[in-house]
Amino acid sequence: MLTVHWEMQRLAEEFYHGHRVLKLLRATIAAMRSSGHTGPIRIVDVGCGIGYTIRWLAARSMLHKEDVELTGVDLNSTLVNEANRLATQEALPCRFFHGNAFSADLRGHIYISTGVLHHFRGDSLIAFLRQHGNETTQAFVHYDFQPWALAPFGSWFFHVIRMRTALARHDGVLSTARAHNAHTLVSAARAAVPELTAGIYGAKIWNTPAPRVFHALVGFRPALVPQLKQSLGRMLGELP
Amino acid sequence: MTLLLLFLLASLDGALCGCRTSMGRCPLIHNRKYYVMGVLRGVFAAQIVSGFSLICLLLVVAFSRNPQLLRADLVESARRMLFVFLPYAALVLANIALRIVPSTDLRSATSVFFLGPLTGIRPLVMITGVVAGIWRAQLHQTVFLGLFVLTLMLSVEFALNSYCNRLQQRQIRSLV
Repeated sequence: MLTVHWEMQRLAEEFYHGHRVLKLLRATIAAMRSSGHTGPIRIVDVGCGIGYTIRWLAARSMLHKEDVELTGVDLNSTLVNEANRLATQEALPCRFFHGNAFSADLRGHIYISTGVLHHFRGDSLIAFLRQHGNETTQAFVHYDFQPWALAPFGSWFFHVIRMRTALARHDGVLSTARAHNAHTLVSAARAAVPELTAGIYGAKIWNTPAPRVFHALVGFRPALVPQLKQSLGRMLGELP
Repeated sequence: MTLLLLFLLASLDGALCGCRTSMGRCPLIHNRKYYVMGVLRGVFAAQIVSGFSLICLLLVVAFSRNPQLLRADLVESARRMLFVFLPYAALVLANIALRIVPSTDLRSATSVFFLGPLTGIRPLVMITGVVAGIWRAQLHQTVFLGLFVLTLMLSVEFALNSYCNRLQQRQIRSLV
């Protein structure tokens, strides 16, 4: 399992996933501070695996110096132990926990995830998103594969060339085939957490019709939306 | 000059093989040193292959009945190989250079649309280049040397991958 997760981290490295998440988080945190949030902000990576995103944020950004706590939560204890080991090895200011990310002791202000949403189908997706509906939650940013006609073929080709383990190859292709479209994601979010304004972030490359490999289902407290629209511009599509 | 260019291309190929075979095996965030080691390992492997090829070439030339003709035939074959290898290398280097631009989309695009596929067709390019070189060769020795070097170069990535895999498995066993 560790071999596969180490290898899958390569995908995040090649797609500069840390940079992408940081850009969105910076805008979200700035909007929260502008709207009067003065205390610490806790970011929770749901289904963090070996914690690449959080460790990258801890290593490459100054978020921890801005009273932002970086945490990751996963249901798999082996992966959580590995994430903590790696963070300790590099003395990174972040922590990883084994358990439910939405439980009272682990919950945060901003939830993020990568490649998690497509694991939930139908009612399960709504049930997953409904867990964001507590008074602490200010925003969520869930990155996942964006489905389009060529995605499974592109993913197959990319994984055959880049991945070595059969499981990583299989999982990567299956994930693109199972990915939800923007309409499904936004509808589920609006049904599950109507108190948060939901939309899709980063669906298209620049101003072209070409789709990005990943898009993000985002949700924000309505008070944050005007400033986020201003700072993120056209990247923030389908947000009412 | 032609042989020197081939040597430089072999070293570049070794460096990229070394980087590629190291990828996805180090989960740390600060992994520049790890990748530099991977690149150096690849360059080193390419030097071994180049050195071994040079020894074989010198031996074949030394025992040839017509060393002048063989030398000319080898240089001409190598020159034809460059017609395939140089554009390929230029394309690879141009895409690597594009990654200097601070755009996550552009960097990802070079990986998905160019560097990935270029990696995929690498064995084909190597075979095409060598076949193009030895196709009109006048001497059997030139054909033999071309195929010999091709086999060695194709085995570099396999050997590096096996080595890196052994290192990684040892590391994971120590963790579990």
